[in-house]
Amino acid sequence: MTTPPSQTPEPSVHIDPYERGWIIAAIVMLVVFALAVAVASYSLGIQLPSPEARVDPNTISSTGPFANPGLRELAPGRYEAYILAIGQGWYFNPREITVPAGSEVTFYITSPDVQHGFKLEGTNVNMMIVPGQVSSLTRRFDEPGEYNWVCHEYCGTGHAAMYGTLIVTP
Amino acid sequence: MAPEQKPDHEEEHFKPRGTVLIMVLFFFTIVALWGYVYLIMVSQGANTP
Repeated sequence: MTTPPSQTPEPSVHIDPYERGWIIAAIVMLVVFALAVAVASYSLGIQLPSPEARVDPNTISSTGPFANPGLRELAPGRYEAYILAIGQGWYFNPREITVPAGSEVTFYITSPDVQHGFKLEGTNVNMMIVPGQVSSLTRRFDEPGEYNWVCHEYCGTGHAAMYGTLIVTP
Repeated sequence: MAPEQKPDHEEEHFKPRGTVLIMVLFFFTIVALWGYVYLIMVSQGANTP
């Protein structure tokens, strides 16, 4: 004997009030975090580095702009910095660059050998340096001072010696 | 000897205060740590790809 359709109980999911409260709190937290990231990205202009170009790691040191790495002035107050992260001697080439305050610097960095990192202290310039790929970020430097950069991807026994300095003059 | 059964109404009114306290502490810890790192990132200024 079957139950008449009119008497079939409605399917329901029982959620404990405490569990429901925690689910709501977790969702609210994730939404707030996502909104904060969106504000930082679209309103405050904090962006992730982009892969600028693909290059051949075997020829990068002898052809193109990385054959003569360093600072290039595009216009007053606008610079490009081509930097090679070299794991076979554990150093950045160049190790030091100098720009006047108020300059906008675009960093182009790659490696001919192994994976490295590039973190400019006190800023959000923070990139992974992958052989075969040019990483790029642009930042404006208004405050004079010395900004040290370090390799933050372990790249071998001389990893700790991989550092450099950006000097912003008044 | 079978274990003593508690009346249903006791389970219905059970309040997990300790668990709620731990979860609230967890919630505020996550929010505080996340917010601290977020403010550091914001204070370091803008950059563009």
